[in-house]
Amino acid sequence: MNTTKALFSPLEHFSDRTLLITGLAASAAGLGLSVGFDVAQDGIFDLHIARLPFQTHLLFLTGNILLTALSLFLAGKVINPGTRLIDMVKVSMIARIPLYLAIPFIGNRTMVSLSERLVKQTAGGTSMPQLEGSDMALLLLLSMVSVLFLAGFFVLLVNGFRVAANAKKWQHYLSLAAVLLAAEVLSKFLYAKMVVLF
Amino acid sequence: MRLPAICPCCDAVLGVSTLKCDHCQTTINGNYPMPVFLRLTPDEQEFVMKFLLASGSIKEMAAQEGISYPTLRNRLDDLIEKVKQLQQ
Repeated sequence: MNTTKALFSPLEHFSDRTLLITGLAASAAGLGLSVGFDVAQDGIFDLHIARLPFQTHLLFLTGNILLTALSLFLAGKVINPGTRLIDMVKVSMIARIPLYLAIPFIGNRTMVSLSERLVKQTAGGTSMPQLEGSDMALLLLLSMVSVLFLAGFFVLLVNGFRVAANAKKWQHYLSLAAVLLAAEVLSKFLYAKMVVLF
Repeated sequence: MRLPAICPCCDAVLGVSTLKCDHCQTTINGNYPMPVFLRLTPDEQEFVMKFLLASGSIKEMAAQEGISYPTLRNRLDDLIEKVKQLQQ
């Protein structure tokens, strides 16, 4: 087995049981990281620093997995009637692993204090925040790491979708992009309503 | 030795012209088309055999092979398409 290929397209190379167990374990770890680092996963591909109760973190994570899986399933069902929801749930859980890995980078003390300083400096005024060289370097590093992990998320998602729905044409990937955008907008809308309710 | 299905000179599908009985040495000459199964690649033929031995269950085959169900189902879908094209 080609290890690199297997890492970027796990649905193609691992058994259903392995994928399900890995997905569930990763989701549990992702929830733990969210609670531990106070990073909210408040969108299907969003991570923000926010101190929230455990049940809200759980709600966001479950919502993200289900919304992503359902949107992939809808697009997949149009492409290939044999597409199964369980495969999309597995894709959705596995694809989030890079996002979980990004949580410690976003929610660590240094980053939190830097973002608090930036918020204080910009609050109420229109002046540009005063940043030291080290702050700039930190922000640059965080941006690069975030882009890398986000790219990892999309690579796993697209490869998983390709295998689970047997997608081959560019139109299939266009429909994937459309449903993902719709799911992101829907997640933002739903979570805003839910947080008010809770 | 693997039975060649494609002509090495012009890439056309080969036909069967001679069959021989190894027991009594009888030889039959004719012009027979190559069966669809033999026109599949060795990997595809192996896949079909495994699928047959797993009683046609992709789930069972996936468990035996240690790969996911959709991967095998896609391979089967692609093979069905190829067989349909070969039959035309």
